[in-house]
Amino acid sequence: MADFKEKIAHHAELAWFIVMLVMVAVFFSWSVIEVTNGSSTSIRYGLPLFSGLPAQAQQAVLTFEKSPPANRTSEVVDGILVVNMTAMQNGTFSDVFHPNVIVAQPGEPITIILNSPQVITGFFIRLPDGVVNVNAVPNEPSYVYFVAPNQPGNYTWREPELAGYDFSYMTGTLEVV
Amino acid sequence: MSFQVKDVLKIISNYFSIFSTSNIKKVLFPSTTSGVIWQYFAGSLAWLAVVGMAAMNLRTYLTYPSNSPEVGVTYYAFLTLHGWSAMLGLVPFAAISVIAYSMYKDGMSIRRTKLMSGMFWLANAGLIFALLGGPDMGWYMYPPLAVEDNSNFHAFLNYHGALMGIAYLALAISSLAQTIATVNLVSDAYATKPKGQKLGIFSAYGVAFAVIIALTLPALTAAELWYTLNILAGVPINTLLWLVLFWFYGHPVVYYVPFPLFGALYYFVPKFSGRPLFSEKWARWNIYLLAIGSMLIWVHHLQTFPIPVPVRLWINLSTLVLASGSGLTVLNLGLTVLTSKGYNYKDPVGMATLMALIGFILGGVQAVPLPMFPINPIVHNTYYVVGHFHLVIWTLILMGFTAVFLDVLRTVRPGFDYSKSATRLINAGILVWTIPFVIVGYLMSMEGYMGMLRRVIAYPTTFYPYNLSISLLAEIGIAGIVMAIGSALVEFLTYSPSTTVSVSSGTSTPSVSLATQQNMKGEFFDNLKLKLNNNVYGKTSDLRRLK
Repeated sequence: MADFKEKIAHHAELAWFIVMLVMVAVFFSWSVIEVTNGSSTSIRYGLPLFSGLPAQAQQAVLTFEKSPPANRTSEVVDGILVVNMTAMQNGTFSDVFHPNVIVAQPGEPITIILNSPQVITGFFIRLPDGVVNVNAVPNEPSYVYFVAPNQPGNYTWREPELAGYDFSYMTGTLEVV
Repeated sequence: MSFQVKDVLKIISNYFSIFSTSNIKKVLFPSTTSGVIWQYFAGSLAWLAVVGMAAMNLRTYLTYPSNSPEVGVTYYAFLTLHGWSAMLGLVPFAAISVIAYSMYKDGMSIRRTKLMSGMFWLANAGLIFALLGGPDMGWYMYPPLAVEDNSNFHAFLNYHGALMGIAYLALAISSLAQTIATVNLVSDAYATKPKGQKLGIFSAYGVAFAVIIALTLPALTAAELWYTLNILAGVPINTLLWLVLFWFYGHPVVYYVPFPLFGALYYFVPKFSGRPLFSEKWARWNIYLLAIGSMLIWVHHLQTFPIPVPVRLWINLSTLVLASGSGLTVLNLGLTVLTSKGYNYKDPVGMATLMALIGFILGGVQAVPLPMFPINPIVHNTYYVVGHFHLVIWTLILMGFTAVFLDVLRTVRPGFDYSKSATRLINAGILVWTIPFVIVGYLMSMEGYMGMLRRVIAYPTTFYPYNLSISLLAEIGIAGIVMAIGSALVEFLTYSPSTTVSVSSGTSTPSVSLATQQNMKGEFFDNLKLKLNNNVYGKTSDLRRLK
């Protein structure tokens, strides 16, 4: 035992390096498993890619885009609330998000198609089960998928990227009723 | 009476002789390696002052949770001043000064001193020109916000139209000049390396990361030129491609100063531990891991952007491998300290080195979860990230830089050392700086985890106590670094290399002053103290003895 301790003391760096590599391998493997199974929080709350959406949400988006509703902003497709959202500024900070209110039922799956035609913007909301946080770049929509909280109430989303002087005030409300 | 006026005029003329053409030329275009080191150190300190002043302006606004949108104009101009001064001014100049010093310390020299000082002034001129335009898009100047000039957005407050393109061209010239300076350092290191000798650990890190700067800084130049071409010639910008190009520089830039400072830590820690480095072999192998790794992980800044899943997997792995390299550094240095018979933290350089190491551990721990993309979106774009990288800046970078600077003062003037009272002041200053800023770093990360978004000027009142505490602690901390660097500089500038010199003279120009000046021809700072002490009505005075 004493010999072993001495060996460890003499090879502490090598031992520590191996420990760190094992940690890296474990963390990395965990990420790969989470992503491939679609069970990581990033996937669940909307990796900002179409391919990152769950299969049902992808189908709902395709259906929505094929035959948009009359209001062109939101529709429930196969039990998923699809919202076509655009962030546009016109000299004032009010009403940047269109729509700036989403009304959902508790536990309802929500998919947002986030368009940002002017500058880079984003969508940040803290919910009881976690955080949704994505960016959107011009001419390339980002996709968000999450589940509305089970607790009814109003939840504020914010614009997290510097997108002009007023970005601190660019908000919207998720109403869970 | 007339004699007195004449005498006074002579004294004044003597004072102003410091600013003679030849002296000014020596300062602006030094012809020695130590002169170039001084120049880049002075540039770093000047930009550090700008960075700090802009930061305190920002912190003042953030003590109020409901700033009106009109505040945004001023706030984001100061935010960009803070960021550009730090990342485009302080960081490259500090990196070059530390690398040049590492070469000097290990017996190498700079051959093309005029080129180095020319690049110094060119880089400064380009950056200052761009800053005069009042940029307000943030330091990483994302497109298309950074090229907009319309009723909704304007990237510069003072520059419009073609002037914006010229501002980006000036920035491109500035970063190009910095690249040329680092290429020159590599070239001079190769040419002046002592034959048959291995590079010392300090300069091995310094020169290796000069290569990394030379390889990655051109990505910034290219990104800036792309903006120039967009504004002046209508060349379209692909937003995602620009982001990838920018972060290819934008991530390694955070290592420009820390990694050469790792070399300094590998040099100082054994010295103040009174034992050899725990493993120099691993320290040298680690250079490859850190150098290559630093260029492979840039996309982790884009975790919330629509980038493909395989790229995400790659950056997750590569970032963690790089983190292993940093962990190895900490282990190597930590074991050197822990297995020593006693670390000499009472020495100012020893104290600054220790604070750099401790701060790096505390700041580095905050970064471990960030490459994990199940975790990253929870804190991306929040003060969690701001707390992490500022904590590393405040400790590893600024305290490591302070350690090197204090050592520079000792090295360039043989015989100079810090007196007991100055040592106490410097050490106290280092602690007054480090302790509040470690708390600030963790407070920022806590509020970030709770949802405080970075760069906002209005925020939920939940975060008010955090922001008030952060601003107050920052005010206290800043006094610390002024005390540490100020005390060291005063000690250095008022030091005379003479031991005990006391001369009586009835002449209006003391002979000792002339004699000593002749001995140290060309040493600007040596002369300063002698003139201040000895040219008082031509009377005698004792030159100050510090040791």
